[in-house]
Formats: sequence, C-alpha cells, structure tokens
Amino acid sequence: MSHKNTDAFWNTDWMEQQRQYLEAWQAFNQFMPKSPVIGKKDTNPLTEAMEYWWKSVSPTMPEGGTEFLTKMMEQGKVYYILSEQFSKLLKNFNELSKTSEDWQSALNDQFEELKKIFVHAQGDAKEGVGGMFGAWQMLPIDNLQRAFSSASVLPGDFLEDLKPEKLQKVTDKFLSIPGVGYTRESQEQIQEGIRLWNNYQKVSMEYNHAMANVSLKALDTMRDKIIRMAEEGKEIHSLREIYDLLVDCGEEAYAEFTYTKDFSDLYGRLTNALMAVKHHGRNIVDEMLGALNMPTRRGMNTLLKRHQDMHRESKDTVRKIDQLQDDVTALKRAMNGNGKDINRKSAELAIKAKEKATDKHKAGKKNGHRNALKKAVAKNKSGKTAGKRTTARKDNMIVIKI
Amino acid sequence: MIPFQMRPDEILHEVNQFNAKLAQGINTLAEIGDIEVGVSKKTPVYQEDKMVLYRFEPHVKKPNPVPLLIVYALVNRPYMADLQDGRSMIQGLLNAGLDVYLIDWGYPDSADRYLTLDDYINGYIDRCVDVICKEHKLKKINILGICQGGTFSLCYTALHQDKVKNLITTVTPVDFHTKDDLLSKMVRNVDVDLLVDTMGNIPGELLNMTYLSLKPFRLVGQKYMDLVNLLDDKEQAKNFMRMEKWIFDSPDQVGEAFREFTKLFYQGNGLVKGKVNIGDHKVDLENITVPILNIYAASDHLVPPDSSKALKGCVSSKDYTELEFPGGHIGIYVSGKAQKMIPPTVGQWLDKRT
Repeated sequence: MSHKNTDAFWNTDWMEQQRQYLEAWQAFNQFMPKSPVIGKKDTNPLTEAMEYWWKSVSPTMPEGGTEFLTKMMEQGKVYYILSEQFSKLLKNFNELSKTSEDWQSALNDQFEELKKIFVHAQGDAKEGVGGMFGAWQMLPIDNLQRAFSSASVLPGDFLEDLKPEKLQKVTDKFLSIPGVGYTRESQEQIQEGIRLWNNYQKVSMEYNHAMANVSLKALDTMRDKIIRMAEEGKEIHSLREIYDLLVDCGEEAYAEFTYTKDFSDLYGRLTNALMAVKHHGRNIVDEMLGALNMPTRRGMNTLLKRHQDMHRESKDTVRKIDQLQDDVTALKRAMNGNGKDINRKSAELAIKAKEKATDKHKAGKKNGHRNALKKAVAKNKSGKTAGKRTTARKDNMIVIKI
Repeated sequence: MIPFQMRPDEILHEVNQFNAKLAQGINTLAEIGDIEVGVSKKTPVYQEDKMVLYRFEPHVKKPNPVPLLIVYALVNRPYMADLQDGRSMIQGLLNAGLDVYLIDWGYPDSADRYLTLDDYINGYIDRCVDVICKEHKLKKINILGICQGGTFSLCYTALHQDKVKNLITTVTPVDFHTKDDLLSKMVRNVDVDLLVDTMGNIPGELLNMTYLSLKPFRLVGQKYMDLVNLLDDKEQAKNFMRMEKWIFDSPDQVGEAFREFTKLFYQGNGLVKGKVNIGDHKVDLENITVPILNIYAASDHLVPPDSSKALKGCVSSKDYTELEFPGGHIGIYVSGKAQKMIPPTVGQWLDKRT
C-alpha cells in the first residue's frame, strides 16, 4: 500500500464525505435545485445529485448541447461509481496487512461488487442508470428498436415488457389454436406476429447475455491487469487512470468477442428477427389501408420504382439529345464556315467519316454483282488451294504411309 | 506492492475537479453559439436532383490545368473535407495549386429510394465528369475518392477510363473481407433484402450507431471524458463540437443503393473477385491502367489498411503509389499532421503527371 495512506482520513465515512462535498457544491453552484435530493435507496449520492442538477440545468441549455452533455453526464456517473468503489477498496487496503494474498483477496471482493453494479445495471440502462456498460450494451438493440419505431405505427418498445418467459404460457396456448371461421386469416396473422416477436425477444436476450459476459470478462481482465501491474512494480496515481484502464479492458474484451463468427451470426439473427417483426407489421398495416382504399406502402413502392425508371430513361434521352445537338451545331458551323477551328475540324472529320460511309455504301451497291463475282472467284481459288492442300496432304499421307 | 498510489481524499478531489469542469463547461457551451463548417469559397456549377457539383475558388493564378473532382461517400456530409480554417483538406489542395470540384450528394428522402449504384456511378458521377470536361475543354480529369467515394471512383474508372487521367483513393475499402474488418463482420449475416424491403431507406441514425458499436467504450464513453478537460477553452470546445456535428450529421441511405453496396461489396466481396456489376457493365479492376495514388490510414478502424492495400494486386496500373498516413479514418482529413502531409503530396503527385 502507498506510503501516503497513513493519515486519519481512512476513518472517514465515504458516503458522508460525498454528501458534505455536494452540499458545498450546491451552495456554490447557482444552477442547483432548491428542492431536497430524494433518490433511490442505495444509489450513489453523487450520481443522484447530478441527475437532479442536470434536470434543472438542461432546459436552459442551447439546442444541440443537451444531448451532447447527457453523454457526458453518463460518463460522469461511471466516474462516480468508480470513485466510490475504489475509495472503498483503498480504505479496505489500509485495514489489511500488506501481504499479497490479502490485498488480492480485497481486490477480488471489490471487483465482484463492481460486477454487480455495472452488469446488473444493464437492465436499467434505459432509465439512464446503466452507466458505462449499460450504455454500450444497449447500443445495438436500442438502435435497432429506434429504427423500428421510426417507421411503425406502433412504438418501438410497445412489447418491451413482454419477455418470452412471461409470454410463454399465454402464447403456447394461443399459438396452438388453429384459426377458424371467416376471421381465420387475421387470426393467423396475429399468431404469426406473436411468434416473430417471441423469436426476437429470445435472440435479444441471447445477445444481452453475450454482452453481459463481455462486461464480466472486461472486469476480470482489469483485475488481472492490476495484479500484473503490482508484480511489475507499476503504479496507478489517479481515478482517471483507473477509468482509462477500464476502457482499455472493455475494448479488449469486446473485440475478443465481436471478431468471432459467433458474434457475426448473433448480430445477424438479432437484426433479422427484429426486421421480420416489423415487416410483418407493415404488411398488416398495408392490408388495413388497402381495405380502406388508402395508399399502401406496396403501392407507393411500385410508383416510386416506376418513377425512378422513367427518370433514368428521361435523363439518358436528354443526354443523347444534348449530344446530337452538339453534333448538329458543330456541323452547321463547319458548313457555314464560321465555327472555331476545333469545331470545324471535328465537323470536318464527322463529314468525312460520313462521306466515307456513304461512298462505301454506294460502292457496295454498285459493285454488288462485281463483288459477288469476286467472292465466287475467290471461293473457287481458295477451293482450288484447299484442293491443292488436300492433294498435298494426301501426297504427304502417302509418303508417310510409304 | 499495491499499484494504487492515492488516497480516497485525492480521489474525491479529482471528482471535485471533474464536477467543476463540467459545470464550467455548461457556460462554455452556452457561449459557443452557431457552429459554422466549410471555409473555402465555392460555387454550385451543376445540380441534378439532390446532387450538387461545387467548384472551389482556386488559390493560385494558374492552377493545375487538369481539374480534380472529389467524390465523397454517401454516408455523412462532405464538409468534413473542408471543416474549418487550418483543418481543411480542400484548403490544402487549393493551396497546392489544384482546381477542385466536389460532389455533394445531399440528403436523400423516400422519393429517392430506388436510386441504384448505376444511377450514382454511371449517372451522377459520369455527368459531373462530362460537365467538368466540357467546361475545361478536356477529355480527361483527375479524380479523388473519399472512403466509399473511393470505391465508387474505382468502379467509375474501371468503366470510364477514357475520362480519367489520374486516380487518387483515400481510405478506400477494396477487399471487404480482411480479418480485422468488424463492420464487414457485423453485416455479414444480416438479411439485407429483408432490411431494405422493411425499412426502405436506411436511417442515418442506424449507421451512426453502427459505427459507434465498433469501439463503444471509447466512442460512447472515453471521448466525452476527454472533452471535460477541453471545456475551459472555448475554441477547443468548439472544435470538438464541430466534429460532433459532422459525426452525427448522417443522411439516410438510399435503399436500393444500400442493398447493392452491402450485398455486392460487404457480403460478396465482389470488387476483388470481379463480381460486381454496375448497371449492365461488369467492373473489372484489372482494366484500370491510369496512374493511382492510394492513401490509407494506419490506425483506421472503419477501413482497415489491408482492405485499401489490396488495390495494388487488383489493378494493371504500372504507375501505382501507396501512402500510409499515421492516424485514423477521420484524422487523415482533419488533423494538423494530415494538413502538412496529404494535400501537398497529392498536389506534387498530380503535378508530375500533368
């Protein structure tokens, strides 16, 4: 343990320290709310205060700055969690004897607590208390769901709480009933929708589980690195260094998983499962719109495609007309003798080429019979030659035979 | 020996400083005001649908007689190449004596959903080249492609080589199946047909988040912690915000073009296999014989260097040059180091071949 850790500070209550500090900060900071901070039980008071502070400050922020600062607030929370956990750890270290086994055991205990905080917070990530792991783990899923929501009549998270295990009993029964009567088709559509959503939820849980493992791996890697640093006599001097180490270990564990075929497969299944749900929903909406004689997505797509094809053809045509106009202008200038040299030259070349082609054509017509005769003669000649060759070959063959 | 050399009060002091900087940062951000982008003077010279072709005002009296057309990617916005004074590749190219044009694809909407790669490459790009050729009374011009725009430029050159004098590719993906290409691995098993048929155009937000997913701890977390230290400096904070603006300024991706690009390039790796068809024409990189300058970034996490370097083995150009930039995918355009290295090199390389 550091030689610094010998003063009476170690007996200070960490939570109390934070509260005192915050009171001072509150008094100093004009933005702080006047209402008392009432938070969730067992949460970090710094985090709690920051949330209240942010709620009071954010309405005064310029547009665009709010979202940006929210990201910083999220990281601030990670910082506070780390500060709390590592202060506890340091306090524990001070109370221990200095053997390697003792401090490593304390380190292990602290990391177990960190795992609970970071990884278990994942479920609350949407409420903004997920901290670092919550934020990044939720990224792809949240991202996909937002995309889903943006193009659907239903909000992206409308079935969020219907987890497979909760749905299982209900859906198993419901899905096993065959559709009957004149509403058979719509019954089947609903059944299919639930089946698809169920599938998505399963894959989503699988993904969350995989990412939780990455988070655990990151913390294990971090603990191992700290132990290795101790063995190599390396030192950590600030909370920021601890944070950076956590980031490095996080990226390392994440890369280790994401570069595998398993991840590629899982990510594909996650996206495909969600898209299948949305696609099915879109078809149902289309059917409803069709029944009301209103424009459907399918109809719009047909129109848009047809429009694009026509647009493309029209551009090609315009281009060809432009080209022809340029040629005509060049020809006219050349014929009037008032064009620039470059145009005249190109026009002259064009005229010559045309004349040649016309001459050839005429010559071809005039000499049609002559050419036919020539061809016949040539054929005859070549036939003779071929004949000669044949004879020669025959001769050769005879020679060979002899 | 325990590695932690600090006391809890020191940790608390650090948190205190963090909070103070964050609170101060609110004031700084409130004072920043509008964030302007794009520094070089430019004029629109041709417009078609949402695409605009710009010409930048040359910085020298007699610029290189062969103009340079910059083909930007469909993702994000092209002002990244002209972000701010002193951090602008275009400014550097103009200073290097080049006559620069740039294609801005605009923000496609649902009416553009059926634009194909054929429309982009054999349509828009080709017509822009024709406009420039006509204006300068030339048969060939120089082309510089940025990222996906580089891939487009390669396809264009393979199909219209008679109109390309020299080709410069920057952080351009060629081999989409290198082992360190996480983006490719992410989309490898995605049913792109289902995705496009369902979504129509692909939201820019989806792409943003996908890019963040490549390095989530750094890009969603650490980056903002670093910012806290910049917040007491208004200019630095403004620079950071300018980059943020660009990063999250993502146009939606046209559905059909996205479908083709993802399936043919990312999933099928068709460019190196010679299995890409643009419209009715097969893209064969072996057809390319024009001089090529291929610039890639050593620490590129979006387009791994190996992906770009694969170009060498695919083209027939005898005049082929590679340049490695010691930085990342964006740093190659906006970092101070890049300003000193990239535009002057491009200028000199083109001067020698004009």
